[in-house]
Amino acid sequence: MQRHPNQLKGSLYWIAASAVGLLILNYLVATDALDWYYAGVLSTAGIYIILTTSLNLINGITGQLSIGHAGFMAVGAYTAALLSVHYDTPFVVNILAAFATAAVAGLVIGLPTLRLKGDYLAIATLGFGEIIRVVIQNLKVTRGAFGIVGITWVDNLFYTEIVVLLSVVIIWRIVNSATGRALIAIREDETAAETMGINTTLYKVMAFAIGSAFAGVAGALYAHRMTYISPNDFTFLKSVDILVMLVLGGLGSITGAVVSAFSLTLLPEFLRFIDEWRMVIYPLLLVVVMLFRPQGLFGTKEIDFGALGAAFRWLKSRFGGAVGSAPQRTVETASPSSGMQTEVQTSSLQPAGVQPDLSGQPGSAAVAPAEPSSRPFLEVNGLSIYYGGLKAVSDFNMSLPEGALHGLIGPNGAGKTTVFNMLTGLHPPSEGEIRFRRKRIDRLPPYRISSEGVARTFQNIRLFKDLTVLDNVKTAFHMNVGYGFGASLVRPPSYGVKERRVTSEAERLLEILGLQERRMELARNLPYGEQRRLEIARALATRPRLLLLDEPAAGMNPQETASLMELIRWIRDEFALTILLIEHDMSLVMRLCERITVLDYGVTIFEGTPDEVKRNPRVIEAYLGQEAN
Amino acid sequence: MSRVVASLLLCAVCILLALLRKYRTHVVSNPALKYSYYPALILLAALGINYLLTALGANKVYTFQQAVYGLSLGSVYALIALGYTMVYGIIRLINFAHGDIYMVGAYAGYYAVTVMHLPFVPALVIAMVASSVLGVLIERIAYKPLRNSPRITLLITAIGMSLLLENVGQKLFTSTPRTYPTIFKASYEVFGVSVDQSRIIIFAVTVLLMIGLQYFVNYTKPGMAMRALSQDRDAARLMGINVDRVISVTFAVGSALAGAAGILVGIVYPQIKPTMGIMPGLKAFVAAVIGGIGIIPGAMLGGMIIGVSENFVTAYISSSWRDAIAFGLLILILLVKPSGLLGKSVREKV
Amino acid sequence: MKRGYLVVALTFVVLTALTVSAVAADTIKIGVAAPLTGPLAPYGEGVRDGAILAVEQANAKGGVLGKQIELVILDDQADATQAANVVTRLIQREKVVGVIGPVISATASVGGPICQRFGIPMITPTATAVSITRVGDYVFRVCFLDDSQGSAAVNYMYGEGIKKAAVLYKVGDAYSEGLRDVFMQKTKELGMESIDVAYNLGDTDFSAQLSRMKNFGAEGVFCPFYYEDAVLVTRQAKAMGYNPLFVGTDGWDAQELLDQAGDASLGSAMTTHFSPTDSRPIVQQYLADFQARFGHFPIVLAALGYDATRLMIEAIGRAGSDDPKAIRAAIAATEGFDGVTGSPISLDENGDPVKDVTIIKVIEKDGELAFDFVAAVRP
Repeated sequence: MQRHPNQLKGSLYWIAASAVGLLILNYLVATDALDWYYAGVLSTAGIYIILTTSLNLINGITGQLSIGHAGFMAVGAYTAALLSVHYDTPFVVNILAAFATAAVAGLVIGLPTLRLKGDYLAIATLGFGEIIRVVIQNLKVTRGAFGIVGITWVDNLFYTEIVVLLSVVIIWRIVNSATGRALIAIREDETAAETMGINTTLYKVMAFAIGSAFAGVAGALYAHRMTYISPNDFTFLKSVDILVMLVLGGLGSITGAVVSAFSLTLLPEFLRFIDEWRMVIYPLLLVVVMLFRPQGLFGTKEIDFGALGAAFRWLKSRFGGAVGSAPQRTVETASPSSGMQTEVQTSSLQPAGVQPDLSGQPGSAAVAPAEPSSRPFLEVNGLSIYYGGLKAVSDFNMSLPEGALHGLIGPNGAGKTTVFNMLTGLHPPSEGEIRFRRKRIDRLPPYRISSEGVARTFQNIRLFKDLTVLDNVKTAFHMNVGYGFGASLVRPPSYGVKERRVTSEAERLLEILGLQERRMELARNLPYGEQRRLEIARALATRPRLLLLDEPAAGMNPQETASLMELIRWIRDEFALTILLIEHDMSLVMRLCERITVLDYGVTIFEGTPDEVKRNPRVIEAYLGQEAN
Repeated sequence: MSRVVASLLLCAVCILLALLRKYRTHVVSNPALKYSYYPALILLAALGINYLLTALGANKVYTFQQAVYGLSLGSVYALIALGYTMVYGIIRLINFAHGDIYMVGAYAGYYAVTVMHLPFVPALVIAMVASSVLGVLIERIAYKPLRNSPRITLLITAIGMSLLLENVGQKLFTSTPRTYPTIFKASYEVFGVSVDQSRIIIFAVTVLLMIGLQYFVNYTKPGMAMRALSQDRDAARLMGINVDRVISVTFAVGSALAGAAGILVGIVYPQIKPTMGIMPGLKAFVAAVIGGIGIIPGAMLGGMIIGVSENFVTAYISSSWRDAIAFGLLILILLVKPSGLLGKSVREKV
Repeated sequence: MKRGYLVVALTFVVLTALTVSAVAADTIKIGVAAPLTGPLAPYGEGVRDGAILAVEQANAKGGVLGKQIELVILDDQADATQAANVVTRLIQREKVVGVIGPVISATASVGGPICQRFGIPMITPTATAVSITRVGDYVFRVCFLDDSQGSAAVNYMYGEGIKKAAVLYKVGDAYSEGLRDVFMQKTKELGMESIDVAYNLGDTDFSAQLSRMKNFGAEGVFCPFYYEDAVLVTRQAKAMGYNPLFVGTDGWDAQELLDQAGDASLGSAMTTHFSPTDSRPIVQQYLADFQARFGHFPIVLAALGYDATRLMIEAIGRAGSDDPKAIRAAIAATEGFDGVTGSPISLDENGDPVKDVTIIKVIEKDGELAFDFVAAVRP
């Protein structure tokens, strides 16, 4: 996923270009240079553009595989048709009504089915698409198989194209905003997205409903263009058509969807001589594209205006400021060992008020920890979790004061990560309670816990692998972008300001963690240690009060580990955090943590200061076995 | 009054079934009970239904007649579903083209019977071999290069292959339907229920093939390799299993079953056409999901459930809602027990 | 990126190139919109061949208004969107003066309003749904309506002494469901007991439906669907020992029914547009000409394509002008047209023909199955 940082202007370009295109088209139609036949074909192309971009929102952006899109198109088409035939309502009203009913249909169907994943979801959406058709076929009001005749004819290319343009712009804006980042995060890693404070269920259902709503709009256009609709217009094959267009264009690319829908509707009209073989060539083309270019023609990329590229860059240099940067993929790769140094060197670039005293000697924890507050910050009582008959963790207790730097250690399989999973809501505990700042959080879903101020990293790194480093961090600002869904559609001036602030804050976090050089690289291309640091940056972006680090030093060399230790201590003070960390590197834990809890077979066997832990016979026994005693 | 008794009885049967299921492990460990477990279940269910019908005063002959029709239709679904389930179990792909392999099997059988004038068994073998070759070819050409691609790429390729086969089929076989000659004419009457010889054959062949498949997967070396592969492909590779070969074998076996379904359909419902694979293909996948995908008896169970319930819906309600009910059933299963009736649930590791 | 750019550029080049194609005008153009690919292709091809025959015969006699007639044939794939594009293209790009087609009700329902809008007369040879000609005065047809066909079928059953009857119809198919409605209403009027039983697109197993009708005790089964399904229905009924009187519709009238259903079809009756055993000279001449031109026996829909095209050409002659408005008026005024599919044919105020429904049945003649003419009834 590599989008232009200057998307706002990018979309403005598209609007301007489309407007010019529209004017030309309408001039051609008005002067009879382009007859109704072409106008009709272009309308069809427009309808398919809406269908494909809206399916892209569900399949490409959010990563939820839906193959029943024609069903929602049918809902919209019938809404418009019935309104037009029975109440003679104007075109605009019908379009809006189609949007609304299809959105409701999407909501009703999305709520239960989006719990499913992958192929199962695909099959369920297929099923629902068919069910919608069967229902329409059996209802009296829709006149069953006879279809609806006499829908007002609106084949005004201008109206159609306006609706198409609006739909595409709205979808474009949704995708290129905090909402879009949340959706993409869900596609990349749903669990990680949830711990970034993204209500994944809500967002998935929302994307599904919006995608469906626009399919409904396309259906309404279709109904008004054909003046006659019947259930057979909305079969599974129609859904496949849309899917093929989307996939050929490239899942996740809006411009790809537009170009592909446009050319695939127009092409057969000009290739009538291959009519006989068209239905053989199409699937063949599909298979060949999948085999040789499975990401589609455009991948997840968006087209920019090659010819306008120069002007674009000039604009960027004038207005871009903190935002802009060339989207080249070949950012120089710093050698892994120099990573920490870079961070130290660039520390002087940090904004005023930040004093990263990182170059100091190890152990210079002269900075006093935040004064321990009298009441516990995190309080865990009797926490247990069972999987079937297995007690993974039982009766876990913990009490952390604010500002603590606490370690959680234990042999492999002791249940440390399970404790984290319970604290972040990923695995609801079977028994016990968790109080965070005196509020019970043990029954909250992960995204709520995240918004309470708990962030974590993962033992088996869960970055959004196909996003850039910068986008990874920006995504985590989800709860703190400061604008709502409406603002991302309307884009008031404040929107740009807030987006730029998110970007600059994200860049600042990257600087702190020594990743600013890498900000345009895909997360998957980072070396291991940097991926771990990126995870920390991402966790910090949620503005947590409590940070849970799951083996942050795993895979690092001693030098890296040492600077990581400094870094952890420094961010604790800088961001006024409380940190709980799991780590196998004993030297790090013993030097860094103020107190340590030792877990073995799901049971707490000891809690105390590092020195006490080192001396405790039960801990030694757990680690070294009985013989050593 | 009798209705109350009947519903009570039905409850009792249900509880008994549930208990049997719960203590299945004990039953299965006892060799004497092991082989009578499923027959006993079926017998119990049949008795319960029979009693219920008597109590309700329903037309029993009509009802059992529907069950017979349902079982033969269910056999078709089951045979196709077996292939789906095997392929999905191993490479996690909904092989949309599977329904069309079934179509090709039907045509291969048709030409074997009409042009080559072969009797049933050799024709069945030809249909199975032809489908099997096609299945392996499709896998080699279209799926193998994509083995490490995202699942959606594979799925879309499968949809493309399916459309391709349908349309090439229309060119090759023309869209005019073909009709099988009548091969099995006899019909028997059991308690007033008429049972055609062809329906007995379709059911018997299905059960035999399923048992054979079960044996193949559980007790032969390639079968063991398949199971290993379905658990963990990389580990299987490290154990010295030739992954490509095992996947080919899976496609070969699954496609052969679809080919068998094709010729059996031609014999019982004598018409075939190039688009015949679409709906049964989808339904068979639904069957595989209902039974628990990757589980061989599950595919059988799912196929039978769909076949029988479709017949009952047609016979008692109306065919116009039939497809909605089949897909509704699917969605219900997915939401309540996504692993299917015979499946075990798995938890995602964080 | 460059590739996408190329696609867009190419598309526009092609688009502009095609916009500037020249139109020669010393012929009169008639358009044909019919499915020539996909499962309905055989029907579309029949209509097309009928139209070709009619035009070639007229041209051989010097054309009409002293000009030769040119036929523009486009494939609508039996798909609504394609039909809309094709009909618009015929009118706007090919500048036809009249349209023959579309063939099925779903596409004719889309094509009709377009012809009406552009003021080009359209004659659908085969689409039987009532609503099609109701969109306006430019839309006509030469086939009878579902009403006539359904009534004729029920009357025939009634005449055969049937008291209990069933209709087996295809869900989601306007043609089939339309006839179902006519059947249910008509049987009620005549005091017959009736049920309707549905099946779905792509079904091959009719056991449940048939046993349901058998259980009901239906002595006659009305079957408003095409012969492909009829083969399955009659054969499966015979296999289960259920032998009611099957009464099919025009979709049954195909040689393939006899070939594929065999004995199972024996005794079945059906309503249709014409019978090859009709001894009128025009019918025999048509059959001979068709076989001479195309080398095979025509399907029944070819006769409708033939009649529709002949009517269009005749109307152009009567109008004395190739102005679509005048042609429309001439078609509307049709009276006593001598058609292969019935004679005389007049058009009523809706643009629907007033004509006979032919009833034929399957008999055994010289050890072979054949269709035999039963009656021509005017509903």
